[in-house]
Formats: sequence, structure tokens, C-alpha cells
Amino acid sequence: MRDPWTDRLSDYMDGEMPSEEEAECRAHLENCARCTRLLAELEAVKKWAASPPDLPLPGGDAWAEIRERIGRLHPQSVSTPSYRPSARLLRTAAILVLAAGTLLLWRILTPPGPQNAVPMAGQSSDLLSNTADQWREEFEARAALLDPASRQDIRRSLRMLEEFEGEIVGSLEEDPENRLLREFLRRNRRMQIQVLRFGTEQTMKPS
Amino acid sequence: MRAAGGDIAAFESLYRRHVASVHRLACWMLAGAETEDIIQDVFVRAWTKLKLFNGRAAFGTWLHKLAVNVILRHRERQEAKSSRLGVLSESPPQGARLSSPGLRMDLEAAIATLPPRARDVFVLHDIEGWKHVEIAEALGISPSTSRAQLHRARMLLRRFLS
Repeated sequence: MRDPWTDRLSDYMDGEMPSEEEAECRAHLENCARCTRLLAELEAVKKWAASPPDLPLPGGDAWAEIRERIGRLHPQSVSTPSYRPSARLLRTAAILVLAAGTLLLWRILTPPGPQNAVPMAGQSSDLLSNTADQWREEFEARAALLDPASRQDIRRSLRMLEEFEGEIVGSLEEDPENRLLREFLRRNRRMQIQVLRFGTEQTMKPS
Repeated sequence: MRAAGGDIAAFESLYRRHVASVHRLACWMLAGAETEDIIQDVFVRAWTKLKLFNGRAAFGTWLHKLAVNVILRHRERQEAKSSRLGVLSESPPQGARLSSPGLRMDLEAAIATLPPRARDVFVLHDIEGWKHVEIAEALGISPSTSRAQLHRARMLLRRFLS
């Protein structure tokens, strides 16, 4: 007659048995030499599998073929070397364009005075960052004077720009010499200044 | 991850780091049959799916799950082809190319003779360290079937260590 515990020995060995059943199985093993021997054999198989031998790689290098297949799927991925912006950078650029469009629309709806121009071409991104901080302080000091909807719009635009400033800074950490990224950072900070300046000016308009 | 952004050089680094483990997995699951095309399929598929890698698991874990799917689909196609030609799908593959001498050689060869389902479960559980729940999901079986197949595989293999 077949021992009913035989088929449960792997579960016992792997700790996959409910505790009550496990105790029964342990008691059975104390009195069954056959199951004890079988358990030892199963443990040897499991031990072998835990550190299996290395299998040598096939002779040829599959990478060339993989690269060719990827190239057929996405030709731009394997074209040579010229600078290819990452998806994250492209997204950043798209958002900057969107933000610039929003700001332009704003400007059209509320024509600025000559003092509103931001003549900052050539300034470093660090200097722009300091200028942005000063305008932020100015804006926050007066933000309560704005109607809630405008205040929310300005803060939302700033959050968006700040989020992507973080993305650009992250990309620059990987590629600190990248001139395109540096230009993006500079433009992003200039745009933050424009938004803050615009918001501050709105607080000065008579309602 | 740079590779997910389309950086082929970064993806090549991932390939170099993981190709040996993917090859090993394919060898065990396909019982030493030709694996070169499978390795290519796995990495091309990984490239197209990279954007779905969310970083919650290690990249190697994600890649091995994808590899198991590719391997299983490949074997299904092979089995369908064999059955059309009237070959028994449960028969062990011919010409298994296995490496180590002595006792290990015996056990490696023995893995190749296991029925495919028992072999899959044994490789994934005992060699790759997957849990029964994960195996069940990947193979489309229940966890209890996975446990039963594991026991079946070990019982068949133990003879080669005796």
C-alpha cells in the first residue's frame, strides 16, 4: 500500500504545509525509514538546484543580430551617434513650448507695459535662479491681492515649470556638459521669472 | 533608466549583464535545445516592452518573467509543429547539449528528460527561486498543481543523485 505521506514530502521540505499537518508528518518521519531516506534524496536534489553549474554561452555574440532586429523595428534607435534627446527631455521641451504658448496668450489678453520685458539673454542659469527667487518672494508677498482663479493659474504654471526644472537638472547630472540641456535650464528659469513678474504685476492693477 | 528612453548603448549594457542568466534559463527550460534564437527574441521583446518596466522589481526579475513567456510561447509553437508532424510532444528533446562532467552531467541530462511541465516548475522554483504563486501565474496552472509538479520532478531527479 502506498504511503500517503510520500507525495507530501516536498511540501514538508519547503515549509508549504499547514503547521498541524507538518507536526503529523514530522511524527511520521520518526517512524518511517523509507520516507526519511526519500526526504534526504529530495533535499539533495533541491541543494543541487540551488547552485546549478554554469552553462557556457553559445559561441557567437547574439548582440549584433539583436541590434539589427531592433534597428528594423525602430531605425532611429540604432542610427549613429549624433545627439538624440531622451524622451524625458523631449517631454520637457514640449512642456516649455506649452508654457510659452500659455504665457503668450496671457500677454495677448493683457498687453504688458514696456517694463515687462525680461532682457536676460546671455545670463547664466544660476543668476536667473537668484532673480527668480527674488521675484518669487515679491509675488508671494502680494499673491493674496489676486483673485483666487488667477492665483491658482500662476501657481499651477510655476509648479509645472519647477517640476521640469527638476527633470532638466536630473538629466544634467547624467550629462553635465550637455549644452542643449543647459540652454533648456536657462530658458526654464527665465520663464519662471516671466510668470512671477506677470503675477506680481497683476496684483498692482486696480480691480 | 536610459535604455527605456531609447538609448541602445545602455540597452547593450543590460544585455551584457543579463545574457548569461537568460541563456541559462532557456537552456534549462528547453532542455538544451538551440537557444540562440530564443535569446534574441527575449532581448528584442524586452526592448519593445522596456517602457512598461516600472522599477518595482529588479530589472533581472522583470526580464526573467518576460523570458519565461517567450520560452513558453516558443515551446508551444514547437509542440504544435511536432504534433502536426505526428511527433510526441512529451518526448525529451534530442541532442541536448549539456556541459559538466560526472554526476552533475547526469543530473543536467536528467532535467532534460523531465516532462515539460514538471521541468518548468522545477527550473522556476528550485533553480530560479520563484514562488508557487508566481509559477502558477506564469504557467497558467494552480499553485497546488505547481507544488505537485515540483514533487514529481524531484522524485524523478533523485534517482540521478543516488
